[in-house]
Amino acid sequence: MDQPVIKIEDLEKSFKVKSSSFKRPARVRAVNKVSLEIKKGETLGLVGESGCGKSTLGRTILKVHEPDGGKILFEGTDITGFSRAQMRPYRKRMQMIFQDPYASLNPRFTVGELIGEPMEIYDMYTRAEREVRVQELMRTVGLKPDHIRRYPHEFSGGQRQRIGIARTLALDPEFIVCDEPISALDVSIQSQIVNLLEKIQAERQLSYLFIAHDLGMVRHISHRIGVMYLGYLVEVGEADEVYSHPLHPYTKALMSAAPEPDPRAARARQRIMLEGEIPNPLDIPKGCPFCTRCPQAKPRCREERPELKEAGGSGRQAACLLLEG
Amino acid sequence: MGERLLTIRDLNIEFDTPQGVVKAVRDVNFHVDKGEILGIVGESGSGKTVSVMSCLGLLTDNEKIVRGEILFEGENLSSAGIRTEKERKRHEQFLNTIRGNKISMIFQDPMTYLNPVLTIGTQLTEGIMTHQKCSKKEAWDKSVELLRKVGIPGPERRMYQYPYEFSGGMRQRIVIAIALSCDPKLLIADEPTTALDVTVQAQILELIRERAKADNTSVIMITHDLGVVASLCERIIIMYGGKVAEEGLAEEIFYEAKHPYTQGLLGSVVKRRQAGDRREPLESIPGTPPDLLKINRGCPFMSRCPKAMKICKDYIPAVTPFSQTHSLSCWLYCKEQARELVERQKAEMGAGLG
Ligand SMILES: Nc1ncnc2c1ncn2[C@@H]1O[C@H](COP(=O)(O)OP(=O)(O)OP(=O)(O)O)[C@@H](O)[C@H]1O
Ligand SMILES: Nc1ncnc2c1ncn2[C@@H]1O[C@H](COP(=O)(O)OP(=O)(O)OP(=O)(O)O)[C@@H](O)[C@H]1O
Ligand code: SF4
Ligand SMILES: [Mg+2]
Ligand SMILES: [Mg+2]
Repeated sequence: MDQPVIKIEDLEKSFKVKSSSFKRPARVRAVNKVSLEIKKGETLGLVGESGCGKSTLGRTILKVHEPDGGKILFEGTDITGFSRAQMRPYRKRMQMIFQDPYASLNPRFTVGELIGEPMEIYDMYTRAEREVRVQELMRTVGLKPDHIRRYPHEFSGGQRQRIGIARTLALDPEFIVCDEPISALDVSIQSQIVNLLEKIQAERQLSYLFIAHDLGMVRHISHRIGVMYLGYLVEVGEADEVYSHPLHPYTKALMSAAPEPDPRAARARQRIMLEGEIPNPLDIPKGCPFCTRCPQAKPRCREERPELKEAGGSGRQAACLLLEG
Repeated sequence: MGERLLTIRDLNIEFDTPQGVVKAVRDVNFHVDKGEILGIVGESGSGKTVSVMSCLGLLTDNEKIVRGEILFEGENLSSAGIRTEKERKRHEQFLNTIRGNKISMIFQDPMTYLNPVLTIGTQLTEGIMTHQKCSKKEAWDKSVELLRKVGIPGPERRMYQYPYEFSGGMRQRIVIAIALSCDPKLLIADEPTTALDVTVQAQILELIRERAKADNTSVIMITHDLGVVASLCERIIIMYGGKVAEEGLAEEIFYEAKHPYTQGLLGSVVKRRQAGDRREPLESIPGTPPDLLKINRGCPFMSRCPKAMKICKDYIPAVTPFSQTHSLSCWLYCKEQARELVERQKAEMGAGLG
């Protein structure tokens, strides 16, 4: 089998935060011992509540944040300890698309300059070649090449997201972290962008880590899905499997709470209402991170921390003591 | 059919901007019955917020209700036609008796509503005391009860805490508690769950549904999440480009949508059962929403509509009823009127030439 484009092992990232009530600075443990793989041409969807560490995981894989522990392998090369200089050739092969198409584009640059800039930074191609490449990229993402001299504010949200995607593609990356690339867009525009991302993936055999809140959309675009809770990966598996037969109690609650655009199905559905609020990542429960809200929690769950383990075959993994029997 | 609470008739709202007049709401009609949950769906900029804010008389300086009635329990809340300063003052006083009392509103971001330097208890009690004649003690007890009702554990203690000590979901619940504290007849919720997670969102929607049923409160729920309206609303209005494109019971909209925009919108979302066909591209609506500075003729959806005809470019489609509850505005469904219009135009042109 192909070796994965991305493989991470026990990856950890925490942030120091000032805390008034403690003398010692506290640590937000945003990513806790996460292991996963993404194959060539594959999309791994990542879902979970706000603040559970999805963006941090994506950024740590790209080494935007330095990991505190664990390993990152890019096409088999261990890049965990790489310096800035050592990272340089890898940087352009691993890219990111952001949520906010407004904030991520410099308003003083024309579209042509914005899309050409990454190639210039990496000293790729001659000036004339770059101009041709920019026009090609604009066509790829569905922008009119004759709009090359326009400024971002002259475009709608969806078009700006297309500019962002063209900029990302300019470096010919193999792996892209898509951090909520559609959340800021209208529903009718979201599907345009998702179709575009899928088209580009098919043409270039790209691998995606796709972070989003819209579970329906994540299921549509992803081959496999990972579910995070409080910095832990609690379940991972084939997209359809995770949706139709969630194993982890949190995944079950999440799937049942997802609003479904179908009144009859919505009415027929049994919701699992979670009690309480997401715990503070400064203060992760001792046992299972989900034990404070889990409708199925047993006394044991407050003591022992479950590991992510094979469950139910076909590469499916979940971290729940009840599944371990 | 239920008893009417709110009727909006022929509402037109404009903004004066340096670039020109933005016609944000054009000939909008809808109503809300007592105890009913109505959903308003539409893209960004389609006029959802502007339409409902006008019910509260919350207009910005450059905003004007050009025409139209907003009948709430038989009284007109619309400021259209008000000329003199005296009339305006009287109208404002009248609106003050309605706002935050008979009609209350929840916004997307609870922090716009909560004062960060006052405790939750102070904010709740003050709100209750301004609208209801009662002692501080009574208002305090009522506040504790409200917090309990919206699912805040240990409300007696929580009354002494500040907004930042609560999570996003809890803050939104507090805002709902404040909005409900005066027992409003109508609760307007403008994207109240957009900033929340699905599991917390489900709690909030359940809370709104419960309160509406328990007190026979009417609710207008604005959202662009079709999942939210499907699980909460009995009736739905679809807006596009400042106009109502289609209106109907939830079932009529989701299963018998007729307007090309509604159909496109429903096609763009992923339903549970379709999700298996992953490699099929999603249906999508090409193009982008219209510029409200520039449109005044024709169907607002024209530039993106896969079925647009010649007439759509020049004439605003008439509203065609399908059932007592289902109606839409699209030339495809009023061909007879379209033909008449074209005939008349030809005749006029002929007369002009002759
Ligand atoms: N630079 C930082 N400094 C300190 N804390 C941070 C930093 N970045 C993230 N965090 C914290 O780490 C945790 C995980 O945040 P992260 O942004 O990864 O969550 P997320 O899952 O992407 O959430 P969302 O869905 O809201 O985007 C949060 O508690 C957050 O406050
Ligand atoms: N203060 C203002 N000045 C000028 N134009 C405005 C103003 N407020 C709103 N508009 C315009 O009115 C139109 C309708 O806006 P509205 O806020 O009602 O949209 P919406 O449907 O609520 O969208 P969203 O989903 O983004 O909240 C928009 O085109 C907007 O640009
Ligand atoms: S009126 Fe014409 S343009 Fe508008 S939705 Fe109907 S067919 Fe399309
Ligand atoms: Mg994030
Ligand atoms: Mg709005």
